[in-house]
Amino acid sequence: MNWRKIFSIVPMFLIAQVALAHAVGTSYIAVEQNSDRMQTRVDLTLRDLEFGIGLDSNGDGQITWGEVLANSPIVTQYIEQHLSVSRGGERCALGSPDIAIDRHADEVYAAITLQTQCATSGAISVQSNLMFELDDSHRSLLTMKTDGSNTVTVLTAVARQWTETRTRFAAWDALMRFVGQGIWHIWIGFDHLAFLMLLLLPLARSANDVTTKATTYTIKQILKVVTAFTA
Amino acid sequence: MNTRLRASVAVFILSLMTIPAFCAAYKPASQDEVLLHVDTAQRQARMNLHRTVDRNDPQSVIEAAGNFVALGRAQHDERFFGYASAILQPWHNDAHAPTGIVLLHADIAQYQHRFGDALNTLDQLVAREPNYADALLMRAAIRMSQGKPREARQDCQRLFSLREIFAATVCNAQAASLNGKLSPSYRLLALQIERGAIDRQNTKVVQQLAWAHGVLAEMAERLGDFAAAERELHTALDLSPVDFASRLQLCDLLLQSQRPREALQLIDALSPSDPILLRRALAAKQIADPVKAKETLITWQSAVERSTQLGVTLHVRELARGQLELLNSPSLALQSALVNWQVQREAIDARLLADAARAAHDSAALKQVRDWQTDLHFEDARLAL
Repeated sequence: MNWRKIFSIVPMFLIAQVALAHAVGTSYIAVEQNSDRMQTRVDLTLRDLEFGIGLDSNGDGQITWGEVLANSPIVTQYIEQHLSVSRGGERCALGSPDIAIDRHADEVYAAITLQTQCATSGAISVQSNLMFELDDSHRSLLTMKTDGSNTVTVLTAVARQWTETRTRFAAWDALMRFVGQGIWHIWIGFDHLAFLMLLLLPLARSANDVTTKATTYTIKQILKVVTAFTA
Repeated sequence: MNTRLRASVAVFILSLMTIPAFCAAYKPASQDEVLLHVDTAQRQARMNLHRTVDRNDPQSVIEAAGNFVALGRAQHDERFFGYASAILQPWHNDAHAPTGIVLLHADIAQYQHRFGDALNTLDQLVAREPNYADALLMRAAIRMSQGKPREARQDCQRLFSLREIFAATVCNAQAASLNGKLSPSYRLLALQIERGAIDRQNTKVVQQLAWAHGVLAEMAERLGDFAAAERELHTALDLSPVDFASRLQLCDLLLQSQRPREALQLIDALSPSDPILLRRALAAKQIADPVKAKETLITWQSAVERSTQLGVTLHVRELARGQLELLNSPSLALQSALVNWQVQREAIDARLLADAARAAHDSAALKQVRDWQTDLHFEDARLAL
């Protein structure tokens, strides 16, 4: 296709174009530690894998479970090359991959679980380059489960690394990270009540001239909506 | 403790309730089980990626990124814009990047609703290349969507001297229509379209014409001639079936005239993005099917939830509308509409803010719209203040 031709057309759309937000490509990374065992699970959409690696081996426009299985060594290799889990500054060994299928928000994912061998102590750190070099808008939701505590954070093309902070302010740091990105409300796994409070409250509080009376009114309004959802 | 900090703390406490949502993965019983259908756009994207792209050759980069942007526009899919942006990465914040690359940066930014970034980029680009028609047109479009038709008109005027006569005419007519000259602009544009010879083999001409019909439809709506608006939108869609904005505009027109089934039919084949899910829920509410209404409401809510989780910029206009028309919450809708008003000021945004302000009995918010309307001599039959 001639790029000049594209250019002469595309901006002409802009006058009528309403920019609209759509779901971005998303992956999920979970690092879980149970007493002395650690495992890492990576969920990548089949769509993203098809784009970056190519799963449709026979080119028939359909990706089957057989094709996912056949390509799993390449998928695992891609993960090993683009994801680094380390502890105490030492890179952990990822091995014994197991592949399965999962769904998040109506998208089909390949879920790859890797046994993770790490140093016995030190802060855990995760650096992901998965998909970022292909898709600038990609998001990775990272979940850390260690000794009963959960941390969830979001990795983006410009913030690809997360390091555990073993202080009582760890959760506060995680929060600050979100605020720093201008997104407070990106945790997963909320029930609807928590989500709605989270979604609606910051919006409602964004006006600077909110009086106490108006705030109470706003919160009542939010609760009305929230209970309507959760009833 | 100030209010913002208190809100942060409330959010923080709620965050402690988080339970990560990893569902049980499964292994299909048969190797033949089909898990995903690869559509044409995905195939094109993969081909585009694997065609030899010399990352040091601007022409090659512009072609590859331009293809992704075109795909994203046709598919209304953010992922393709992410692909384009990734290819352009080496030129991010490079003041000497080739102009074609800078224009693509601006285009991606405006699509992702980063209007400030897009305008800054375009200002710098126009300073470098004062006669860059595509950049001028893009800047005019953004300025108009921000309710600044006077500034937009300066860019539109310059297109005449660059011999982009049809684009200049549409751009000027649109800007003038937003600035006290709705009726004459409508007549002028209708006449220009009527006079123009249509060469259907010329993609540029067809796309420009589709755009012009869309602009004319928006003017007709503000004049209160909804039948004409509908006609114009059908023409625009005949010329350019992938025109997402015109399709949504027509869908809204049908919903406004209480024709939910036609509205649903119009968006039936589209992928379930947030704006589509909102309209499906609004249509189901009009049809008065309580089961479907609840189901579509929850689907829309989940989609908003997902966008929020991912930290993707929400389209606050759509959120405000959902809060007003689906959740029946004027107070929340007003807060969102006020946030939206800082980002976009098209007729639809003005009406939304006015409706929310009226429903929430907030005269100060209503006055904001009224002052803006008076200042611009902005005409809209439905914006009775």
